[in-house]
Order: sequence, then structure tokens, then C-alpha cells
Amino acid sequence: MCLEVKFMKGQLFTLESFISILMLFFIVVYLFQNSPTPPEFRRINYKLKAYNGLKILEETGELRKDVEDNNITSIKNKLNPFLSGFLNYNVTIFNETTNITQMPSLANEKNTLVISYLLAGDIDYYKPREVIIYVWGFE
Amino acid sequence: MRNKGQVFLISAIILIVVLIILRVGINLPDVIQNTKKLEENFEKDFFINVVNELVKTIEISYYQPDNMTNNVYNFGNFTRKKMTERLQEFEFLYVSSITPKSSGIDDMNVSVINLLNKPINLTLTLDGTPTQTRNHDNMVDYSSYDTSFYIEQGTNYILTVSYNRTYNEYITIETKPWISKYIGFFDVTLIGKETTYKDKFQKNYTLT
Repeated sequence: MCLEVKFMKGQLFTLESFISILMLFFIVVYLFQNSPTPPEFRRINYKLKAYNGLKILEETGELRKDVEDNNITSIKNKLNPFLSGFLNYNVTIFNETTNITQMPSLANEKNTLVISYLLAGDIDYYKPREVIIYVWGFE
Repeated sequence: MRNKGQVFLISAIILIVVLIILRVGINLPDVIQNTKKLEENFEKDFFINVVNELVKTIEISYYQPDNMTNNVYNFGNFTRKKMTERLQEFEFLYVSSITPKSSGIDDMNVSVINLLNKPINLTLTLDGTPTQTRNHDNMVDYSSYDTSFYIEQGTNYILTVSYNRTYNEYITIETKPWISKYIGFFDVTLIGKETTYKDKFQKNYTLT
């Protein structure tokens, strides 16, 4: 009789534990199925920062000049204040058909942000260019 | 600790309450909404970049007026190619007119660029006496069309651009004797991942 009660209690204990786990599992799944995706939020923030950097350089006329000179180093240096120091980034210039400055070797393309800026040319002649900033290492 | 199982249950309930409080605190819909809004801002910024550079194309071609429209066509193509690479769509209709530096009756050249991703049946109508009309059926995507109208320098005109019987735009053209004028009408659409952006505007330039 005593053994039977103990066995029943054991079963009840297992059942209660199982119900607890099940409750927790379902509530976690339900509450966080649409996770807040902070990485997404950070990604878009970095994209905006990089884009604003390019925009400001364009407004001051520096970007057009550096692109005309294919001066990637200068563009990168000028972008430093806009992109937090811990980020890895590189800049490539494209013409209508291909890249005209070196492209970075990207280890993980999926986790690389690509920010594009178009330019029609310099002060008085048409010369279309695309400036792309590749940002990685923020995951 | 006789009721170990019940302790588990009570702990689970407390934990669930804490999780719910955390979830409400984080306010997930706000975070998602903000992320979406930022994404839209980013697309809008890129759209503004495209529109600004289309206008810039004319400005930097100012000293070669014969190349103005051609450069806009090339930049439109360039932009579309870049957008396609990013799985975004770019639709662009451009109409330009150039009046010569002369007086009396002369020719005004009009060009239309179709980068709308579809063929169009184009009709151009210039008001005045008599009204002049040019039809160009099946104007394919990635193409341009050039024509001319008689004008009397010093008269103002309305150029109506229509296509496929669904689209009508009215471009005001002012002419002045001995002044050459270039007018560009832009109809730009960017179909982004989040939203569609559209802008229509006209730019007038006096050529030297």
C-alpha cells in the first residue's frame, strides 16, 4: 500500500514537472515567435549611418572629387567619423559595367551590408559612378 | 519539500508572469515598426539620390546641350541596371524640349525616353493654332523618340504627353526670342522592398 502511494506520488511529480515544462515551452514560443530582431535594427542603423556619411561627403563636394580621382583611401578616412570604429568596412567604385577599384574579399557575404550611392559625374562632365560601402563584422 | 512537483508548477507560473511583463516592456510591435520605418527611410534616401543625380546629369551637361537628353537616357539605364542588381524596380519617363536661339517661327525639338519597363503608344500634342500632334505607336522599353514642332518664339505652349490612353501630363513651355531654353520633365518611380516612391517634376534651363 505504502509502495503504491509512493509510486502514485512519483507519477504525479513527473506529471507536474512535465506540465510545467510544457507551459514554459508554449509561453516562450508564443511570446517570442516574432522576436524583436535587434540585429535587424542594428543592420539598418549601420546602413543609414554609412549612407548619411556618403550624403554629407557628397554635399560638401568631397565625394565627387574623390570618386573622380578613384581615391578610396580618402573616402574611407572621411567616412571614419560616421561609422563606429569597431566596424569593418571597405569602399569600391563602379562604372557602368564593372568595378574600377579593388573589391574587398568578403568572408561572409550574407552578413555584409551593401550601401550604394550613385553619382552622375563631376562638375561639368557626365561620368556615371556607383560608390558602394561594404560593412561587416557587426554580428 | 513534500510537493516538489507543485513547486515546479508554481515556479513555472512565476516565470511565465515575468516573461509576459518583459514581453510587454520590450513592446515588440514598436521595435518591428521602427525597423520597418528605418528601412523605408533608407529606400527613400536612395530614391532622393537617384532623382538628384538625374537632375545633376542635365546640369553637368549644360555646356554640351546636344548631349543633355542622351546623358539622361544613359544615366536612367545605369540606374535601372544598378536597381535590378538589388532586385528593385526603376521606372522612368523623360520628356525634353529645346528651343533654338532665334526669333519668329522655328523648330522646337522634343525627345521622349521610355524606361517604363513596358512598350507605350505615345502621343504628343502641342496646343496653338493649329494644334500639332505626333503619334509614336509601340515605343518599346529602353528607347527614345525624337520629333519637332513648329513654334513661334515668344509664345507659351502646353505640351501634352499621353500614352496608352491612361496617362496625361501637361508640360508648360515658355519661349522667348533669341533665348534658347531646355525643359526637362521627369516622371520617376522606384519600387522598393517596402514602399513605392514616385516623383514628377519639371526643370527649366536657359542655355547660353
